[in-house]
Amino acid sequence: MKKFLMLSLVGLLLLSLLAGGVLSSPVYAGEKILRRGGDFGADGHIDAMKSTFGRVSMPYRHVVEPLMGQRPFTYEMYPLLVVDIPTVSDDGLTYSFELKRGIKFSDGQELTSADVEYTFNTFFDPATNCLNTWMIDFILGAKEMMEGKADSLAGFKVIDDYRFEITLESPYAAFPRALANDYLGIVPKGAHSAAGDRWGIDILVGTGPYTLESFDPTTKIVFAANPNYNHNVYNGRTLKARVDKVEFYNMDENTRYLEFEVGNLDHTPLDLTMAQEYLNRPEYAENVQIENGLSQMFFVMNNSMKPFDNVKVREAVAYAFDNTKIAEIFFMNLWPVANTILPEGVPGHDDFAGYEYNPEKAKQLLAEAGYPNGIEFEMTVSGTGIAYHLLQIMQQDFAECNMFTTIDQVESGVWFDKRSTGNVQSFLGTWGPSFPNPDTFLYGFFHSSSADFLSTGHRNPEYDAKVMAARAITDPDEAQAVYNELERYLSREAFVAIPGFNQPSVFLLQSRVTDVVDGAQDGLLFAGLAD
Amino acid sequence: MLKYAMERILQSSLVLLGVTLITFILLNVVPGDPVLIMLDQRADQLTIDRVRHELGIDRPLPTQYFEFLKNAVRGDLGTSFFKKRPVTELLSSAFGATAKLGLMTLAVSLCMSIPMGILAAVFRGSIIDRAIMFLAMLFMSLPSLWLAMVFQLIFGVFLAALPISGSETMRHYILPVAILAIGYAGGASRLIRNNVIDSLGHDFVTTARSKGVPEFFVVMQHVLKNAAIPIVTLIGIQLRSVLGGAMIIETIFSMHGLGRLAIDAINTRDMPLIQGNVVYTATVFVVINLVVDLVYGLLDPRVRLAGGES
Repeated sequence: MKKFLMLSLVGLLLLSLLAGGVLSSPVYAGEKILRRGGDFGADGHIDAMKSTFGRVSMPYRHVVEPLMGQRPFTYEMYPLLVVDIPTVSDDGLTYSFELKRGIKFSDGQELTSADVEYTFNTFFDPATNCLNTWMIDFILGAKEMMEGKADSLAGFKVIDDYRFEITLESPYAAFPRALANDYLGIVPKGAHSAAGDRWGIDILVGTGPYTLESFDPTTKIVFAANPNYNHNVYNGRTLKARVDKVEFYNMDENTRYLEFEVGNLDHTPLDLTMAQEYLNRPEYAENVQIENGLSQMFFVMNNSMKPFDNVKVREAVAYAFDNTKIAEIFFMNLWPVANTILPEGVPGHDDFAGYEYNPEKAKQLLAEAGYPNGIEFEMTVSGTGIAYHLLQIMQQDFAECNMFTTIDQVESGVWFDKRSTGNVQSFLGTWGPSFPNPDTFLYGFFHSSSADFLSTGHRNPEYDAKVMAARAITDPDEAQAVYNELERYLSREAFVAIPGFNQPSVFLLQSRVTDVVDGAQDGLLFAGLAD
Repeated sequence: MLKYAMERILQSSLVLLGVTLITFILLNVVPGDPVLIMLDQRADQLTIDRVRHELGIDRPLPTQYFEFLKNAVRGDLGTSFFKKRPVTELLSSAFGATAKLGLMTLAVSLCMSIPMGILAAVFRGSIIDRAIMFLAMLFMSLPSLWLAMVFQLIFGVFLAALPISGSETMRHYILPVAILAIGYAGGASRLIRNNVIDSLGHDFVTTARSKGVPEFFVVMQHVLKNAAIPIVTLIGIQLRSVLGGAMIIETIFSMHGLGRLAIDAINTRDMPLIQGNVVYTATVFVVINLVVDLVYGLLDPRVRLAGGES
């Protein structure tokens, strides 16, 4: 009887272990589906007006398009929803736009000036709670709207159904480029206002090459091809979605790599530490894609805090930061050295060779600054990613230069609390604009208005005035000269921050993915899949 | 019994009130401003103030707390700062995945641990007992994070037999359920073994055997029933645990459950969502405790009598 008992119980045990195995697997019915891994959908919504994260704006861009477009890799600006690059008045203040005829939102409504006006008013309406108003808050009347003093944008004028004008407070030559930003997509007046809080959750309507099919909050976004999309022409060819669906996933990092290896993902960002491993595996080496972009990493010292309130101390740090060695040894040259704040391809950049690691020079400068015995400071970092490892290496190099540091490793919430209130003494900052505009670095990161929010502590009214004045420059040579002067001030005269590295985009891409390069904005927007 | 249940419900309400108050105080004491996290890289003071006002966190703390309580009793736990959805909607949406994962885990773990515990007890001291107890110890010792990665590699990559992320079909649940169930089964089988051994030594077992009752029925009818109370306690503990969400497993397997929702909420200081999670978890604990206590009474008349006397 004991045998019977044992057999019964062992049977039950085995049955429990095998229980799930008979259930069916998903069937995809032969559709072409491009699957992308990342942290997409983690926010529970895909409304770029209410987010500052690329994980929201990138999928959003599949459905909702901005007025202007920008080709990937070349950053070439092109008119997307408008007939041509907008013309500007002689005083540089008023831009005239004309919409392409016949563009329809995915709900069938035609795009008109009223939709554009509605979108711009919605950006600045306090009730919208838009987080990206700063990108274009120089439009006339924007601030009044944000303060609740006006109901509509004074600088927006509808001429007719297809023509409109936008007037700025002060000239800004890069304004058309700013309008190519993914966060500034044009929404349909009727559908957006009717959707209310469900916009970006159950409802997302735009003129883009895809429509929202489903959104499983926090895990998966599914877009279906928009068959009526026909207004984006590139090299004489009308761009269209080349796959039936695009699926965006929110996945744990290691799981993403495994899903890529089993072929369930076509694209996933790749952590630098994993990049070398995949490059060393012959079967995946060709799948590793590295694209140098516009993101720069620099060592930021709070210019308002001791000892960094002394320019000689900041200059000493330039001689103590051995970015060349780190690029070779730690980054294995996957991340190139950057010796300027402005990256290559951005007006104002030059080929400055940088400062060589020189402990004696650094010590001498510290002594001249009144610190003959060296300095002590804190370097703050959030999490244990690349920046943390970099700071550990830098800590040793700094010590050779009489700079004795502690690494304050904090959780992300604490990081934002400290950094955004101007209380971080030093850190490795990354700044990655979406288009090659020096203003996004020089104003976005180093303007006095960011002194506390980004803990730069940099306040210089003269610099601020020059940055604002440079916005009006339209001549390329003049722009190069003026922005280069500002660049030299930041990295070579005032040593506001020390340039470190250019941060490329590293990812895994299946070889079956085609047509990546001639996509628009996001290189994979019009990607296809080989049969 | 009714009076007893009412007393427990009243106590439970006070527990819930205390839990929400402590959570609210802690959330406002620990560093991390949700607005600064939300705005990430660039924002002017006007925007910061506007967002803070919109989220309602510019009001005095007592006002915020009493507003939360007032809405909570009406079933409104507020709107998530980041996800822009009602917290109740987010919780109920995540609850489906967590409940599915949790209940399957519980079922599989019991199907593993009850046979393991009984076999080990019946064959006490034998090689079977030692092998099962070794397995149980192994199950308890294996970190779920490590086990998850190993299972993903073996079953997902090398054998390509099972999906390694998502929750679309029942197949997606096999690996996470197996990993969680292994962990639970280890501890449970040891507890069951001890209780069965204890029951096997009682006089009624000797009597049943002497009357010629087959060993299978002795164990299943007499021994197991008497070992049931600790097992019910165990089920209660495990149920509370699995319904609270499995943070690590849900994250690794990309499942949209309560554990993952809680991690996201904590990382972003999404106060309404954290509060909602805490209220939910506390409610689950309180309700299951109450149910377990009531089931005790049904299983053991002595508990009923004690309850009645009190």
